[in-house]
Amino acid sequence: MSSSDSVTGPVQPPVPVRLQLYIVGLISVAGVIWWFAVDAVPWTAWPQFVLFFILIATAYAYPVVDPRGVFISPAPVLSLVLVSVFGPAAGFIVSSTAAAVGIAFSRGWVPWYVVSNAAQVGMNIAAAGVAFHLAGGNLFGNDPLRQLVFPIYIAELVRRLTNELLVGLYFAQRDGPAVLKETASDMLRAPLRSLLEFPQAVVLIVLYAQVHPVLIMLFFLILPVERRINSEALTRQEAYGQVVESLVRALDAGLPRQEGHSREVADLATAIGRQLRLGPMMLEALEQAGLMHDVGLIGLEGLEVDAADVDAFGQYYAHSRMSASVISELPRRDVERIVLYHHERYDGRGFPYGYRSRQIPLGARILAIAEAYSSMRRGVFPYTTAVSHTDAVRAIREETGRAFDPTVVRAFLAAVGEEDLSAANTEEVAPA
Amino acid sequence: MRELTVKLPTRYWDPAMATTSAGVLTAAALAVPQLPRTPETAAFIVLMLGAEWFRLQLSPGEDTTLAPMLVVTLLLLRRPDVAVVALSIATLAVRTGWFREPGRRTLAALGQNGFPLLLAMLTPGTVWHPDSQTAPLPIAAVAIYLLLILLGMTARAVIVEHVWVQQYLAVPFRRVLGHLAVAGVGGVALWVVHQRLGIILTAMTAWVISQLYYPVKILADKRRFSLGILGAIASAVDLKDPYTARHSRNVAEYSAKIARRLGLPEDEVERIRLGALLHDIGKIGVGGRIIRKPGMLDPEERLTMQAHVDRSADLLEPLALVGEAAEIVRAHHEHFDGTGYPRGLKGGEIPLGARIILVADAFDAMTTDRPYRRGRLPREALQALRAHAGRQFDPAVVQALDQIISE
Repeated sequence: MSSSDSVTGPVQPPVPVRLQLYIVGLISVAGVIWWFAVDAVPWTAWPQFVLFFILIATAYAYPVVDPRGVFISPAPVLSLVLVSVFGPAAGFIVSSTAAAVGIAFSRGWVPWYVVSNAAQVGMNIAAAGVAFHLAGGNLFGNDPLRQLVFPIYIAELVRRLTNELLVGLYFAQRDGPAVLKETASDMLRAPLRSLLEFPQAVVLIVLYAQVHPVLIMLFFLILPVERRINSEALTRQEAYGQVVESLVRALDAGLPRQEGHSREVADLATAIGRQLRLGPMMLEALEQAGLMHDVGLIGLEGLEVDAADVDAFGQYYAHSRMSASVISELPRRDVERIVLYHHERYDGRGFPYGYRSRQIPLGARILAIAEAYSSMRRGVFPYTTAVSHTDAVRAIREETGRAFDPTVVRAFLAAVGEEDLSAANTEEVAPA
Repeated sequence: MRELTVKLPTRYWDPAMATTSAGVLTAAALAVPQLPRTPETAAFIVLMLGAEWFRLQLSPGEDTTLAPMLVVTLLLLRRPDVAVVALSIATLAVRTGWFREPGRRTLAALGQNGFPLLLAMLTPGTVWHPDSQTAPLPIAAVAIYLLLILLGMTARAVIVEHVWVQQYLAVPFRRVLGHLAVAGVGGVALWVVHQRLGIILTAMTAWVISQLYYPVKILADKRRFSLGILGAIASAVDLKDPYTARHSRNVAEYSAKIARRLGLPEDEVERIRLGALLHDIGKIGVGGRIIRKPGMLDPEERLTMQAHVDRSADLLEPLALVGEAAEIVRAHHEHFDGTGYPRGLKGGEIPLGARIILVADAFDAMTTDRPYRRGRLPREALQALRAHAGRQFDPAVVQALDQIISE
């Protein structure tokens, strides 16, 4: 079972004063909730609370690392079962204490860190429980769609939103309010992500409440298997990445390029993609396309000898098509498309097809800028001399709306840390 | 070394499967008019589309999907008619529409996955219209269905990909078995959920099962994608010489076939295939003018050319995934009688993989056109290889290639 659940990491000492104050506030609020919650818990069901306590603590103690790079934990699903059956008060107390034990086990006993994270977990779960009941949740109603499926979705959504908000506030105290922008976009994505992940909670709740409580133990069967598969996937992914990386490095060295060019293009392209808030699949495609964008050049030689050589230019024009045809053997069509169109221009005067503006895939528009920057900095074909960072940025800015997409240029400027100048300049240049 | 006595009907497998798909499609067409027009039927068709998309590459052998899970559920629900319609729609739509496979591959897949269902439907207890509530549970039908699927995949690996039965049972078979176990258990779970809780929760459970199983799919996709990248880089190196555009891929194909013919275990076959695919990777650094040069090279050029063997191996050696193939690559220009380079190993000192690649490399080089001569016919190339067997080439390897070509 996998549901994303961000846990804020310990900060290096000294902890900023604002963060200290925030943590004290968070823990105090949780303490007050705790004070009132204790009386509202149906303590007669304590054996089941013990079971949930063990399960949730285990889930926090042995987190599953997803091969997609997300840090996930099945704990929220278990907590949703808890709140839907026993109410928000029980959910708050059992989840937060179990989270404290689990986190202390997996990350070490750092009192303020463990307690503040546990408080955060408890609040998410309590909010979810309240939402479940407000949305009319009833485990034994006769309309499962309206009384079960919908309330659980709302509960999961509220849990996720609360969690994003609390995590955002935590990081805002640590790194400044700019972080909240990211939080906002994460919260916008919450409805969809909840939709994808709430069926787990529904199925588990139904199995638990309507079939048999012992079925919750299925979780103990699944957790170790998921952990093993995931860790193997991660190891293999690393091995594959390493192979591609070193072959590309060898490729670069053998080309009239400089070693590291492809890696640089890949990194810059993903940085721009991150600025544009693209999803992980798209970022992966950008990285692969960046690494592979020049494989078509491998058969070409002497590009650096004479830039005015007509034949060199002819070969150069053929290379994006050649790279794409080489890459077309991959099972990823998006990577192929990015490579194929990365020499198109925004105004339609590029090659190989002369597509313009939105006809060109977004990934290709991103790769175009990343490649232009890296090529200019290194002075590789078709540029003749290496230029400084400032000059390269200026050249790209001048081509806004001509060679490059204005939106992507803005993201590029933000990615290379020139954000402040971008707003004024890009406004002046009207897109072609 | 084993002798293959039976001549396998390799080229007839896919057409035969495509022919059986006609039976599946007919059954589906017959079932459509009597299909219950309920949201439930629609839900199962949609679920089947998703299950068919959820595809795992089990190499060697056919790709497999989660479709068997839903088929098991529908058999247990005594609705084989829905199963046959949903499976036909999903296979046609997903394979041609989403994965863009050619039509005959789609039909072959439909035949291979659908024909077991047709046979299972003939089992007593599974009838077209299950009005009787006293009919026994169609467990026999489920068992027959899963067994036939397993048998079909094994037969395909043996007949089409020439994996020895023993080698297949050693590793790949277990992977298929594991997948079918997941499908079977999942199918039963869905049936239980459907009995007690209705179609909405069945759909949700199907989604949860696929989510839990998703890391396995990621693992398989990652493998395929990375091998694709390696192949792409190999092709890029081949581009240095337009006359050998597919050289590395061809050598990899021939090498894997020879290795299987010699009865090597599957992981060894994989290693040899990888080594064959990347055997020329060191040519990245060799100038294209030397590679493309027609006729003889001068001594200095020859040294550069010969250095590519060590360069290839050095490049691969430190890498986790392909490091094991480095030894094979380093020896792939050693001759059987010890006259090769770089070390002059002879006979059994040369890794078997390297001996295989040498033969496959020579065969592909002879049968493709070069700047200075046209490609020879496979038969002529084989004659040349046989003439040098025992000197340049390992006779056993040449004989294995001979058998493969003559089939």
